[in-house]
Amino acid sequence: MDPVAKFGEPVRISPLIKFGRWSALLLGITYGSIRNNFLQRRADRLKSKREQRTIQRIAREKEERLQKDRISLEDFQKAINVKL
Amino acid sequence: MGSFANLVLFHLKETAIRMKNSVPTIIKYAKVELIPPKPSEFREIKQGIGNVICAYKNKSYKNLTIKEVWLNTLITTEVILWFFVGEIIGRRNLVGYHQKL
Repeated sequence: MDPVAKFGEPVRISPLIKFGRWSALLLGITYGSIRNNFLQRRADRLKSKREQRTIQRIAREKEERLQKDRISLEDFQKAINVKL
Repeated sequence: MGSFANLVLFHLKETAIRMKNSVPTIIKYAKVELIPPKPSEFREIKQGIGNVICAYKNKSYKNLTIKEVWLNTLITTEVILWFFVGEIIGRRNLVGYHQKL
């Protein structure tokens, strides 16, 4: 079917509306990319912080475990009265 | 399962045919109605903005009919929705902001 018969001739849109549409579109693209960049940078920062904290926690737990082992070894030596 | 695949295939084919018919129509209308404003139209844009400000200042917008007000509301809504389309393009994700981790 001929589209002109169905919808009529293309309408001439007011330049003000066209300007509004396109400036809104460009504004949206700018806003979206700026906000996305901001959030991405924040997520990266939080991620590196989290990773650092995990590394520190693992090191601390290892240290605590060693300390506990040392203490239990000393207790054992005291109990049997022998220096190993 | 075979009949379901046939059904999907049938609908895909139908959609393709319909698209093939409607894409030239869309392009034909978009070329007139959706193109960005030409530099030669900037005078009219300025005039239009001036008209809006003028209508706001001397309160002539109170003389509009309900139908005109309704049309203006729809057009304003459409323009605002273009902003959100732009936001989707700008953040490169359809729903919400998504951060790669």
